[in-house]
Amino acid sequence: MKKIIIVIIISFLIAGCSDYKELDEIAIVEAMGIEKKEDKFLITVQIINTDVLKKDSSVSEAKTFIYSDTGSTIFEAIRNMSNKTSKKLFFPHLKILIIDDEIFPDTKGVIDLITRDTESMMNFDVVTTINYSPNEILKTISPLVPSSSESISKMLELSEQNNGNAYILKFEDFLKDIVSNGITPVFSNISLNKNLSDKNNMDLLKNSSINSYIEIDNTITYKSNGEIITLNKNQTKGLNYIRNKIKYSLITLPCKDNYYSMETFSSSTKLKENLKNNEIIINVNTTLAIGEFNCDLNIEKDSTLKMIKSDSEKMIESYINSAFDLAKQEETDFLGIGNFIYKNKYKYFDFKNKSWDKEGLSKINIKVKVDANVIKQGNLKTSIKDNDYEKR
Amino acid sequence: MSMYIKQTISQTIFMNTKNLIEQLNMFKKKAPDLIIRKIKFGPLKYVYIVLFQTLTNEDKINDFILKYLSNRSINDFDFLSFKTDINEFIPAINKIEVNDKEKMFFYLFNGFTILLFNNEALAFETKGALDRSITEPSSEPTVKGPKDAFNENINTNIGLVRRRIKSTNLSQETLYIGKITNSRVNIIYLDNIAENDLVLRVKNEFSKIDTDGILDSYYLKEFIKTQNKTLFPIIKSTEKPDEVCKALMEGKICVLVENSPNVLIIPTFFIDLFKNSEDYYQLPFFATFTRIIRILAFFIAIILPAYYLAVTTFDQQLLPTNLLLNFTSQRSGVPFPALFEALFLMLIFEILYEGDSRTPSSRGTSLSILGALVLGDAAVNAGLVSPIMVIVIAITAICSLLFIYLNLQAVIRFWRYLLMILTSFFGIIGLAIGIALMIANISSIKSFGKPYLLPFSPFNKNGTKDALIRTNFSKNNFRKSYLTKKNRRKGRL
Repeated sequence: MKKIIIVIIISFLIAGCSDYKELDEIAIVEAMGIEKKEDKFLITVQIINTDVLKKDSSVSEAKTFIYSDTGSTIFEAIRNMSNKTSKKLFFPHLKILIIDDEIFPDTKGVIDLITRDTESMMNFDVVTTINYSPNEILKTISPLVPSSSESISKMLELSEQNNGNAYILKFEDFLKDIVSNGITPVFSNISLNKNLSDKNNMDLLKNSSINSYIEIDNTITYKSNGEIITLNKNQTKGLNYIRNKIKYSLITLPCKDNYYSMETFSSSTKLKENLKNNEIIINVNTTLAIGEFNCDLNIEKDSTLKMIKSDSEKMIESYINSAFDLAKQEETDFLGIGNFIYKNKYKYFDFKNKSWDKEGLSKINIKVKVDANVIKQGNLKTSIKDNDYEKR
Repeated sequence: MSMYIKQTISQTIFMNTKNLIEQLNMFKKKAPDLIIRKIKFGPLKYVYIVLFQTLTNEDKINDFILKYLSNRSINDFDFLSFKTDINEFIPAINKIEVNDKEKMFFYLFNGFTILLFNNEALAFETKGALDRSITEPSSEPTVKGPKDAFNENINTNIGLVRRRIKSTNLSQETLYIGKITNSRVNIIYLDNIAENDLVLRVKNEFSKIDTDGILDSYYLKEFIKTQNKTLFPIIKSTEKPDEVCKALMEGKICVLVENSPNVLIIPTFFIDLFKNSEDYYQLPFFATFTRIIRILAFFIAIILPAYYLAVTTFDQQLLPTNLLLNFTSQRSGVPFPALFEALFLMLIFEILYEGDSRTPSSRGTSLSILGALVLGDAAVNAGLVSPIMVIVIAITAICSLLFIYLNLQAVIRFWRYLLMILTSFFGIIGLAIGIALMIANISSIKSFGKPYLLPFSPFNKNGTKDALIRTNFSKNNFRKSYLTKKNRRKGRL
């Protein structure tokens, strides 16, 4: 019994209260930006101002604060910041990590710091920016949501889910893509639609037409030498189809002199290998509905429906093919085809000693099979005809 | 007084009337409420009546004993025919022949009137009405179901049970415990269901008790020697006869104590603390629902404040961002560490709770108004505590008030404070250690030789039909095998 009491007392003395921090001693960091400035890292953090949430705060305070500092390593830069902030920076609630273009392709430091840290949660989004610095982006005030970082994460979520033309990269996936064979991470590029006459203050939000805002630009990826490869919206859709990330998406198709739009309700992609013929078979199974129909065609006819079906299938096929062509052309496997082969038939290619991007990818061909299923035509049987207007 | 009784016991066993009256007269000096009346029959013959004015009903004595004595003017008075005459003509049901002094005092203290004559003694029951009437249970309010409750009269209590169980198998064992109070303790059980071992064990445990007095059945609980090092109650007590009868039919043993409205149920398992006799007066689905709510409330009452402390002072990453922001904005400006804030509010609540249960109802209103003002608004506005902490403590308090058994509340309190202290030193790991300790403690308990966590651990399929989930009566056809081995099928005896 004596021994037990001694053990308990010692454990209280040794381990008690380590890590203790009251809520009012921490500053919650919502976003972090990493960039290079004269061989040093410049770190920008966005801290949430919790006092704004108080009921009786009548003063219109800023909702977030921005701090930045430099250091030879990222860690040093963060620690240097404590000269400026009165509270301890608290990173586990990080939502967005913005990595500047100049850091690439050497992201070792970023990954090492965040993975080594015991406190960090790895479920935040990683984005990159080409034309602007992370500092500039984080400083931008955005309408509708309290902070720019929240607006970025919401925007990414919305456009990936509703449109399929943006790509969300969580940090854990980023880490996985970096360390796995035959795959290169893909980032969303954040840019600023900036009107220079606007200043970064609350006046911005007094106007209902917003002239300066953050937007998601194209998706980009980096070659091993740091060169940027840009994917356009359709190629991003192709990428999302191959990585089975599409749920709700939009396909716009031409008919005679007009256009119509199809909405994807669900989609699943399965990859199969036929490596005897150096071929990967991509099976896409998708459910579609007519979203908007401006054509002078009768949807009740079977032939029209068949046309819609085959056109949609061809369109999806073209998305996938254009993404694959880009990968082949740039010799960078951002689609993860090499990774698929490595997981399923690693004997096909010597991933350890040879470069997949340069020697393996060029031999591979893909065969896309799309099965589109048109389930809904909406409430209208045909499109509204011109003579409907004339009757009035 | 005890000395006096001891002396009389040590003296002659023969009932010498003259000696006895002398002794009683000596005793009367200390007990003025003792009445000794000498009634004369003929020239040389006397009858004595001895009684306690405070314990007896004078009307009964006047009507049945004195009236008889004055009416029967037996001419050829001789004590032999006198005795048969009394037997035949005094209209008292409870008449006992007493033949030693100890017994005589016992009956005197129990409100009997003693008739002394010619070295013989007869006791007639003339108890005064010192009892409360049968009222609604005050500590276990019921909405549906029978509303009668036990009172302080043990005979009434046994009657309430017998009225429900009309069976020759209802057996009683009587013990007298306490050197001063000499209280009657009745162990009741159904001899065709309850296990003999258990009955013997309970009788042994109770007959070993050596103490001055038993004033309530709670006294007995503390004398039960167990190996358990725990605060969890292994004996449940109830005021409701229907609950006692339910327990008897399951094969449990109930213990009634004189002058106590609380009847003990032996053995009690962990799940029994969450059962209520009212569960059986409503649909099984709702009973199950309320049981789950009770168990949830039990764990919330223990864990919630500790968990709040863990996530706000150590592991802030566990909370969703928006919730954390909310907490942070409310915490700003509170000068104390979160632990002191919690303990301060808890202390106020405990004081309020104790005050509320001890003050007469006329002052209860002012207490609750003050409590609500102090705890609710003023403390928050003054910046002493954060509103979220008030909510946390209030939820905890409400959850713990669900449990009417005082012992269970004490357990909840103990573990709550222990977990709070552990988490305030070690964060969420401390909470995990505390919960592990609690589970280890619960599973180590044995209630009269049976595992406390039955029917879950060890698992007993038949028992689970009325544990967490109450199944329909028609589907629950067998008695619990861990309580009884004989006559398992319900309805076949």
